[in-house]
Amino acid sequence: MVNRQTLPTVIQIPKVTWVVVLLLILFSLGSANFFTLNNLLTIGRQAAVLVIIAMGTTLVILSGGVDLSSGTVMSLAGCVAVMSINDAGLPVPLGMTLGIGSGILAGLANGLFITFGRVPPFVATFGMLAMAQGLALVLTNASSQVAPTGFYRFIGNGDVLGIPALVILAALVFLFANYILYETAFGVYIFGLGSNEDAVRRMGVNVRQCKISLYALAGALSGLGGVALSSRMSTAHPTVGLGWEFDAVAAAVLGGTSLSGGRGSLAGTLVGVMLIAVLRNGLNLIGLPSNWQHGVTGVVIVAALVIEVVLSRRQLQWLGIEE
Amino acid sequence: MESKIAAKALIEAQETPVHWTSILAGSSRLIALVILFIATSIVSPHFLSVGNIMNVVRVASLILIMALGEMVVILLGEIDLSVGAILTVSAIIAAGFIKGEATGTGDWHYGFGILAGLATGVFFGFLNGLLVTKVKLPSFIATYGMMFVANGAAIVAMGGYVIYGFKDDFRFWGKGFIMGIPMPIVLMAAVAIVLHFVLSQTALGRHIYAIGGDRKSARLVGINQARVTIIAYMISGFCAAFAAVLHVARMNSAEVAMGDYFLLPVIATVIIGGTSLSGGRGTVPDTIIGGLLLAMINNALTLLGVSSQWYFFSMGALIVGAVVIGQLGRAVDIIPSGH
Repeated sequence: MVNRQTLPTVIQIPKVTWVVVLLLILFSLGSANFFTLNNLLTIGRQAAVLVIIAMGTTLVILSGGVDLSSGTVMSLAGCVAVMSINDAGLPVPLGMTLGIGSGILAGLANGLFITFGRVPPFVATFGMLAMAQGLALVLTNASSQVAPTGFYRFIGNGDVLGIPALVILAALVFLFANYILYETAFGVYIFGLGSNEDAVRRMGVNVRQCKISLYALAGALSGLGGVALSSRMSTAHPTVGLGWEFDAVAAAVLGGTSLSGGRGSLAGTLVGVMLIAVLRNGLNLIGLPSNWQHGVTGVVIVAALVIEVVLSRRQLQWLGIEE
Repeated sequence: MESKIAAKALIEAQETPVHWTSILAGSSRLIALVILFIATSIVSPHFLSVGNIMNVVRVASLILIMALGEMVVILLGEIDLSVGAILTVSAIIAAGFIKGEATGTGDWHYGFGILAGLATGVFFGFLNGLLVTKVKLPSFIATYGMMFVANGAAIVAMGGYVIYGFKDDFRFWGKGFIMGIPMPIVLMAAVAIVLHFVLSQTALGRHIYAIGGDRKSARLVGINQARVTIIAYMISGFCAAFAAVLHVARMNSAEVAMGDYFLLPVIATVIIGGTSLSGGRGTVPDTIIGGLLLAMINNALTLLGVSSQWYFFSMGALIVGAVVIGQLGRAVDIIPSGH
């Protein structure tokens, strides 16, 4: 079992950190507006929602699973929250809780499909991707819902002591996920499930319960991310989240998490998210024509993935951990 | 037929009792399709008309052409997330050549355009294959990146315009009929027959199943995994580009993001068709049943006056349901054989 204790510290730093640093330097040279406090806070705000859902996705991938439903569950949660406040007249905090609750329910369903239905995680969460997308469309009749003003929009757009509330929320989620992964028995089981599930089962751990809790946690984070996104955009749109699930998985892999589970870190995922966010913001600021941005983003992400995956494999081979 | 007899003999030789639930689960998709067919024709009088049935199959054909290519990749235990984006970029290249906008020389013969579109799809498939086999990126990640690159190439090539208005000789490929059967169905059947032949009768097909079934053994017996994997991705890219040409001919236009919609139904079709995502198990006929099941549910919802917004939900339920039922059959298969 490869875990962080057995690896030298240098391997835990994702290689793409240097890509992020390089991008920061290039964009600072390319645009005077890039390396300003204001723009860095904007990048933080743009990255925050992806950080929230990518934390859940990373925990799931570390356990040897995958969560493809995070994006559409985000859409669903935003719609549930906004509609329960606007149309059902519930108080704002209760509406937000319901939104997150819908995420937890979706995650629980994922966990049940995977454990009791014995459906592979990829298929179960892909099914949930479609189901959550369908429910969001049915619920809203495929129309955008304007988010309530006041506290609801404060989450996504307000500041606390000059720091965006969304960044603070993402930071809290990051700390919480790290606490779970490194300070609790549950965290040990997550790494264990990803490295050797049979061994964890033989230790007497209730693997089913573990997996169901894990997917429910990921669902809760997707729900929170969905509420936060609808707050930031002042609108809940039923298809807004589609595609975010791939971004979240890519961020995790960019940060050095292995898709076969058992190896990776949450800090790495944070770096992966920063790479995506810095890239999108910077390409815009240096004035690259919008036609080119999509393709350039793709090429840089693929290049970064190649660097990360290939260099990590080399290092592990050198250490004799992988053949 | 012969293979069925051989399979039966094999089972008898092993003296493994075939439990009835296993037989039921094995053909569960076909049974579901028949039940749905009968139920819908009872509930809705409009369903059982030749026009409507043709329509259901025609809608399914485009997705099925892509799904059959995707299935070949999934048989290897890999995945191709870029099929929708490959459809977009191939459609735009094909349309650009047919209208002569790519060369500025006026209309070319549409055949060159079709070839250019197909070549684009095969090329992107080849790149996918290289990333997966030579750079050894996980296929999920490699094809996810390729999705951006292909979409980006389409946006750069188009610059936000729409190419529309094609001549009738080209549009025949999407709109025409052969002996009363819509062209998309004819061409889907052609793709299905060729792929079924390749998978069941050729060395390439056996190698694909071997790699997907047991990667290590396949390597030990000397199968060139990289070559087979690259070919599989090229098949998937070809199928996406083929669907792109038919789509352009039918819609009479090509534009950016036109393929985005297809990724979910394509993967859903393969899964509902019972192909195992870990590779090695799945067939062309099963995938076709999966595609028909998905299209028929959509059609039934429309005919019964249910909001089309339920489409995605029923797709998700079908995915999970199909796999759960498939697992029931396998459990019965595995337990008596003493594992």
